[in-house]
Amino acid sequence: MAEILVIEDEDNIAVALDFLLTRDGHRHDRMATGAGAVARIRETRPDLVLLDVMLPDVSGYQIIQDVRADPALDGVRVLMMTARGSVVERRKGLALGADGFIAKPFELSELRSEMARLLDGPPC
Amino acid sequence: MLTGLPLRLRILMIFAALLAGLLGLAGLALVLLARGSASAGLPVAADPLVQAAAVLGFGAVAAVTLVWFLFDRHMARPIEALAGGLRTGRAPDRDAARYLADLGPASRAAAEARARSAEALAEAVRDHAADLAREKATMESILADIGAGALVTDAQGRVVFYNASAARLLPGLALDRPLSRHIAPGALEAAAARLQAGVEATDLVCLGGEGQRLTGRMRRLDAGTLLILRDRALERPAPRDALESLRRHAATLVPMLDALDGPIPPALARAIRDEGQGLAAALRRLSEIMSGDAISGRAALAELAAGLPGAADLPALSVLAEAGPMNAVLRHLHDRLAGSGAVALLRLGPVEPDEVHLRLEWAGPPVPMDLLEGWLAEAPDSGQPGQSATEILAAHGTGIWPEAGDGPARLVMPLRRAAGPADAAGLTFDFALASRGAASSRLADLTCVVFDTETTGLSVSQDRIVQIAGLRIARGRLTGERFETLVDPGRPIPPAATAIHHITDAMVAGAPDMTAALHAFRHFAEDAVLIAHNAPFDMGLLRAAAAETGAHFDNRVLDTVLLSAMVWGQSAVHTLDALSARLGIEIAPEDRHTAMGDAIATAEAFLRLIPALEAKGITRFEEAVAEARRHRRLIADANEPPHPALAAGAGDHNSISGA
Repeated sequence: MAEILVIEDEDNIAVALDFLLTRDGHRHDRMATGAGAVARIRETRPDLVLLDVMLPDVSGYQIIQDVRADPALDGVRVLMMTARGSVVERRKGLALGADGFIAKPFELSELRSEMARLLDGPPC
Repeated sequence: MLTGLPLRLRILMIFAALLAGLLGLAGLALVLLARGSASAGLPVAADPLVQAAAVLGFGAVAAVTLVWFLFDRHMARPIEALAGGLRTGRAPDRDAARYLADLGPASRAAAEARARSAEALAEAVRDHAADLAREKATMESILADIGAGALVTDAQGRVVFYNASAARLLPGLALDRPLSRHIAPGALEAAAARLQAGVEATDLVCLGGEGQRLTGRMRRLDAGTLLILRDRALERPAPRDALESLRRHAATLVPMLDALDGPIPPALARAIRDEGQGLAAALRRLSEIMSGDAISGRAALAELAAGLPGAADLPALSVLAEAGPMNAVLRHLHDRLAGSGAVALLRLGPVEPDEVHLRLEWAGPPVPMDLLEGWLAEAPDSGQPGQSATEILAAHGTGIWPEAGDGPARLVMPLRRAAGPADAAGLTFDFALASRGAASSRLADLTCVVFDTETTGLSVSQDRIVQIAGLRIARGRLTGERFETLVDPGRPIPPAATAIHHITDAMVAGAPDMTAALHAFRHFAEDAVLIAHNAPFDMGLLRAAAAETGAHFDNRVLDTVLLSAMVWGQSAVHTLDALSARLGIEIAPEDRHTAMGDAIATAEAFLRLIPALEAKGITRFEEAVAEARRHRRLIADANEPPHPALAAGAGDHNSISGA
């Protein structure tokens, strides 16, 4: 049982994630835009943030950059997701401080194993 | 019969004969006069006769000598001077031929006309040669940068010309080596057969030496063939299969989705899952194809960095990139950073075997990602106004992003390194090879690799190579083909060795090991005669390593120590320094005791020794080897590997090479 913040603008993916996370017994919350995401993370201190790259206002890259620049948010684990499935995007996300990076479409097993790795691993 | 004698001598002889004739006639006249007086019973007055004879004689001598002198001075000498002048094209002095009537002005006019026409001819030849040189340089530039590999073989299928692209497509390509060594011969033979059937040119698909697929076109030349080659990998594979797979999975999945309204039987759920996974896999495949190596351009870092501060400090490395658009992206970012108050420098980050990192660094806060993405959404290249920086970067399979860490703020852009040496020669050729005919063992015709090694010490059996360099010679000329690598000896380099060659443990960290380096060198030196200064040492190292590396060197060998002894005798000093000094070869102090520096000096020495050896009647390899046996007391012949029982220590470095 973990506290997860989903930042995803596409409703259908959010619905699918809601279904899967609920079924796996996680508590979760969703934001459909990037504005205020960092403040929400600071406020709720989730165990894991599932962060989409392409958001309508602030990009996921800007959010991870802001999170990593804030010493108060040390240890927050962030798993980034993108439909831009190139190696470059993955490298960019990891270089900016993401703890994991998965490309859409991802399979449930891939999402589960990445989440397990981040939730069960030592604090970041 | 006197026409072979010099003119002045002949004239002197004529005047001498004239004088002799005159004196003879005068003498005869006196004798007749005396006899006439005696027969008439008149008393012979001897004294007046003798006096008359003396006057006549001296008078004749004086007159003839005077005339000869004047004739010689004013006629014979000017004629000889005129003749010499006419032969050498020099106009005679105006005063020199004043007694030769019109002959002087006429010959002067002729000489001047000849000089003018010679000058005009020389000027025409110079102009023509300059035109040819310009055309040659232009053709070389075209062929060097054409993008495709171009190579020419002679009638025997041996390489006499290739450009840098051909060298990249066919690693190890070298002049005077059979092309069939680099391209699977089946396709070559089939294409050659089509040319022999009468067509001028034919397409071919073949496999390179490393198994890569190549397409090309072969054209018949007067004596040999021209081959233009392209790497098929550069042609983007058709995404047809991946698209068909996508369509198939989507076609199956879409009707099944209608069943989601009600309870789903397990078999249908399984089918939906399978199709969904198939769809994702097909999409991944398509992404891989679309993001494949679309970039065929190759640029030096200096091209990408042109106009940016820090460009001058970048090393000579090449990357897979289009120089224009990527330079525009970097300059655009630099300008945007400057606009926001950040003065950025371009620097090189970590250099990996297949990748380099370019960095824009500045003192100040990092650039926010959304601001950077905004800059990248702009079109930086005036040549491609519709293309954003993001699209240019994506087309290169890269991106640029801020990198967190200590030190200055920075943006990082990884770029793939271009295969092959950065300084690959544009063109390598020697068309004279094609006219050489069958393989010759003349020293001046040999294909050789002159090489040198730097080591951890002086023992063949105990020490290891830390650097090896070689350069090829074909038909008495350096071809420009070079091999040079540091070698990780797998053990620390003693300080005493580093003091000589300045190669440190840090320098060889990450360098190829002995096995990789010696296999690469064996490939470079295949078929060639190996030449070294004090060859028993260098050959001993190569042979001692064979058991470990599997790289066997059974090449024929020449030793410049022995060649030097053949020319100057055994008692002379035969160090590389002494030999270079005798032959007028200069080695820059910083190049001495580097493998390439010493290999270059040895190669120059070999080329200058060839005429001296030929003058002594040693023109062929076999003759050089036979002569070398006479100098066994000085140094062993490296063509004869030492007996295994004696191998330990045999050939260890001694004072001869001074290397």
